[in-house]
Amino acid sequence: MTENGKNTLENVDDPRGWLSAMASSQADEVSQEGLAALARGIHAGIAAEDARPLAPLRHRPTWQRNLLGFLILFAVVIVAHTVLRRGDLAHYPLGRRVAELATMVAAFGLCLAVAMRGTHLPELPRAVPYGLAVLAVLVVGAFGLLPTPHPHDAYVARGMGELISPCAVIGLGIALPVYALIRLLGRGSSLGALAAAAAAGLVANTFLHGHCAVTAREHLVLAHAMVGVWLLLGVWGMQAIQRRRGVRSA
Amino acid sequence: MPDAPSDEELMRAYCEGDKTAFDQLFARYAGLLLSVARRQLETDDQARDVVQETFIRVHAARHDFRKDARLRPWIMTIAMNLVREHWRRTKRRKTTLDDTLDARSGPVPEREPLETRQRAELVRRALAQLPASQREVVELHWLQDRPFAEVAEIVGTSEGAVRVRAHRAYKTLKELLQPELGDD
Repeated sequence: MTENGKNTLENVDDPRGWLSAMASSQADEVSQEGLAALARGIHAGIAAEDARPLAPLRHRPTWQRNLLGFLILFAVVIVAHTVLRRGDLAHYPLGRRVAELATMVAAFGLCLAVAMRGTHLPELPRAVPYGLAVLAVLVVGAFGLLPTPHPHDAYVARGMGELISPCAVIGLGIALPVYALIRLLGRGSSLGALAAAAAAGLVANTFLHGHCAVTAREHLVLAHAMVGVWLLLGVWGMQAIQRRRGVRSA
Repeated sequence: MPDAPSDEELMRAYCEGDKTAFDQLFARYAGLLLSVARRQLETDDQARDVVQETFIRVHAARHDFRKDARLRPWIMTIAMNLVREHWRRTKRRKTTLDDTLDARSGPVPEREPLETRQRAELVRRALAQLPASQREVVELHWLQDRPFAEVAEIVGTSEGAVRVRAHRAYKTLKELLQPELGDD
């Protein structure tokens, strides 16, 4: 063994010795020109960041960004439950309606918290946003599997045709801009995108819950709950494409 | 002569609109973050991108900086999150050692002693073989000399879990370095 090797092995019990040899290697030194170029890049990046849509809102503290997210939800709920409210409210049990709405709002709060999580906080395990995405879909899907709330619905479900019913289209029409808003208010982590999609799907479903009087199981599952699924699949697909591009360019 | 302001004082000044405070923070942290990122990533370009994005995120998240917070773990958390994000986006957590070394764009200065360079490369190769969760603990605890409690704060787990990761990393490094160095 070389003298160098012997010294290194002697330090294995305390690896700081040879690790610091690497840390002080000249390959890790940075030239003043390099630092100046980096500083210019950062200032340009900050200018670009400040010019992005909703930057003043995105730079607000996390609790304020969460509050904005809830304001979006409440605006949708108020519109759906007042101006565009469903026609069967007289027959729909109030307790069940409130419980369903509260469940969706609670699930939304969890998804929003993850979507808005500050980048200065340690990253959550990957299972958290994935679990929340599943939870968001299951919560809405479960409403469709409950016993029908009243027998006054003459709607005839169209089987798989429910996937392209007006509710699915309206739901996506609400969910997509809400998703974009949440992403603009968020700080850009890829795990936050899934949580944002789950949250947007729940916002769309709170609207449909307040507006659509159809209680048929197929409709609730295939038209309402699937809004969140489509959105999540879209986000997941986009991320898969980005990863593929990343691997190619790496 | 007044004492130099602390990192936290500079950050608070920046939050209140003092742009020169940001430049001082850059001067204090850029080199440190670059060396951390270089050891965690494959190329110098990737390291520069991560450092640049770290400072941009510091700017975007500045109003989340609490008065009682310490800046160093705050910034290191952002940087480590970005490193993880990079690996997730490129989906290349495990690379071969040769790939890692070949991809480094910056040539090693010729004036550096051969022995130091060899040792540095050996350790860099061994570090590249560690799982990301262990590599970041090695980086923060052994290379940055941060206590386990602070490392736990940065990576978002318990101090016990960090110690376990450090121990496993140490065992792996030992296994990787002994055959490379020989043991006669």
